[in-house]
Amino acid sequence: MSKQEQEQEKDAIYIGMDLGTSRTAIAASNGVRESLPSLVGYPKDVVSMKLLKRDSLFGDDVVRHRLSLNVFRPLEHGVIKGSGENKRGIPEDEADANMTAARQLVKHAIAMARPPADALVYCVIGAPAEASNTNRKALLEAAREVIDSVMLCSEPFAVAYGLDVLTDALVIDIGAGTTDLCRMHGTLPQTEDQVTIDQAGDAIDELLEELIRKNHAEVQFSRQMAMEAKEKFATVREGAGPIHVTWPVDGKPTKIDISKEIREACLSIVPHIVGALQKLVSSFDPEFQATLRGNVLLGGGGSQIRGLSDAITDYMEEHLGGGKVKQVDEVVYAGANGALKISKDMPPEFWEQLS
Amino acid sequence: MSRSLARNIYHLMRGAARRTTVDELRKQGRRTVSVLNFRDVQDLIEQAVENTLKRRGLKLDGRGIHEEVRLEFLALMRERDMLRKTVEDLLHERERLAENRERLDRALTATTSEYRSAQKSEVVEEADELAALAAEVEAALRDTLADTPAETTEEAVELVNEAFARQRAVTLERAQTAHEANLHRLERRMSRLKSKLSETEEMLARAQSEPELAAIPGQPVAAGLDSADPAFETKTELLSEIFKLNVELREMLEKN
Repeated sequence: MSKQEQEQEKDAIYIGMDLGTSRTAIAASNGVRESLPSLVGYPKDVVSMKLLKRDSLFGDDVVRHRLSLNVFRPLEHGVIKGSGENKRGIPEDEADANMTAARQLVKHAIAMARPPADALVYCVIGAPAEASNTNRKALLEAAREVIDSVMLCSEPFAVAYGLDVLTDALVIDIGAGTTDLCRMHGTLPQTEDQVTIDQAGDAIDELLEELIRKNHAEVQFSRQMAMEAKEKFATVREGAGPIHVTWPVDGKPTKIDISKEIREACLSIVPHIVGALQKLVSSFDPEFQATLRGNVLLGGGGSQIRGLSDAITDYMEEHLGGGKVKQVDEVVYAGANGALKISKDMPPEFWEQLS
Repeated sequence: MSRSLARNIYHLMRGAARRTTVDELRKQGRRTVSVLNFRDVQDLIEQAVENTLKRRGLKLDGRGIHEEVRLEFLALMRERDMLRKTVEDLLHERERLAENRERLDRALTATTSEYRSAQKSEVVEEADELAALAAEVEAALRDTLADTPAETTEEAVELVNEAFARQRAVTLERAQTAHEANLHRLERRMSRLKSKLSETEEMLARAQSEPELAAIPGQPVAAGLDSADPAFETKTELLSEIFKLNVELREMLEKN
C-alpha cells in the first residue's frame, strides 16, 4: 500500500446511506448506525422558532412538533421531489425548497455518523433502481456539499452486495415510495435487470385511508394516523385477530376494528410485486429461472408486514408455479449496510478521483 | 441483569415508593392491594431492553444480557482502549521518528556543504596579509633610512624581512592546524549524523510496516476489497463498473 493510500485510510470515514422516501438509514465505518424518518421541518413563525430553539428539525422531532412546523418530505418515489422528470407540475420554488430540505437531510444524516472534524467523508448512496440520470444528478448535488466523495448505486443492488448474494437471486426492496426489484447474475444490473413499481408503503397508506373512510365513514382520522396504525399492526395473515384503534367519532374516542382494512391494503401490493417478479424471471435464461425463483430476498421497510414473504411465496406458487421468498435480516439497515460494504471495498484511488 | 444493577434499581424503587400502613389502607376502605414482586419488575425491564435491542436490529437470544456477557464486553472494551492507546503511542512515535529523520537529513546536508567549502578554502590568507605588510614596512623603512648608508639600510630591511618570514611561517602552521582540526570536526559530525540518520530510518521503516496497526478495533478501516474475498474478481469488476457509471454521471453534471 502506498504512503498516499495509508494517509487516505487514516483520515477517511466510510458511510453507506439508504436515502429512502420514508426513512433514511446510515451505517458508518466507525460502527455508528442510525435511522430517522426522512422529514425536515422549519418553524412556521418566530414564536415557533423561539419555542423550538432551532432553525430546522429532522426525523422524529418533526413528527413530534409537526403542528409548529412547515414540514417537508423531500423525497418522492425514492428521488428528490420536483427534480428532473419528477416535476409533475410542482412549482419551481417548491422544487427548490425540496432540494434544500434534501441537502439538509443528507447533512444531518452524515452528522449522525459523527465523523471526526478533519476526516474525509466517503459515501455510497442507494438510489432507486430506475431513477433517471436527472434524478441521480439531483441526489448527487444534494450530497456533494457535505460529502468529500460520493457515489450512487442501485438500492436493491446494495442490499444484494451487502448480503454477498451476487448471482442467481432476485432482490425485492419495498420502500415507501417505490418497490424495487433487481435480478442479480454476477454483473452490475442493467436496466433490463431492474424494475421499479409504485406499489409500496405510500400506496398501502392511501388504500388503507380509502378503505377505512368507506367502511367507517363516521370515524375522524388523518393519513398520519392511518400510517401509524399500519406501521404498528401491518399484517397479511388471515385470522390474525382484531386490530383495534381508538379514534374519535363525533369527538368521542371510539374503539374500532380495522383488521380487515389493514389486511386488504397490505395484500394489495402482492399481485403487483409478483407481476414485476414474473417479468424479471421470464426474461431470464430459462435454464436458471427456477434457481432465480427459489432465491428471492425481501428487504426494505415495507417488508416488515407480517406474513408478507409467505403471501408472496403463495402467490408465486399460484401464478408462477413455485418460488421461495426469504426476508433479509435487519430490513431497515440492509440497504445502508450494503452501501457501506461497497464504499469500504471500493479502491481508495477511485474515491480520490471522484473527490 | 447484574446483581449490582438489580440492587440499584431496587433501592431506587424503594426510594421512590410511598410507605403506608395496613391500617391506613383499611381506613381508606381497601380490602385488597395488588402486589408486584421485584423479580417481575426485573423481568419487565429485561424484556423491555431486549425488545428495544431487537427493534434496533441487535439480535439477542431469549436469555437476554447476562452478567458474563457484560463482563466480557467490559473486558473487551478495556482491551480495546489499551490497544487504541498503544496504537496512538506508536503513531505518535512514528511521527516523531519522521520529524527526527528530516531534522537529521537537513543537518547532514548543511554539514556536508560546510565541509566541502572548508576543503576548498585557503589557509594562506593570514600569511599573505603578513607578506603584504612586510612589503609595506620595507618600503617605509627604505624611505625613512634614505639618508643612511645603503649597507645599513639593507641590513635593517633584511632583519625586518626575516622577522616577518618567521612570523609568516608560524602563522601558516597555526592556520593549517586549525583548518585540519575543523575538517576533522566536520568529518566526525558527518559520520555521527549519518549513523543517527540510518538508525532513525531503520526504526521508521519498522514502525511503518507495523501490521497490527490496521487491525485495532475502532481504528481506520482498511480500504479496498480484501484479496482473500472468495468473490474477489466478480466484486472488483462490479466496483469498477459502479465507479465508471459515477464518473459518467459526474461528467454529465459538470457539462450542465
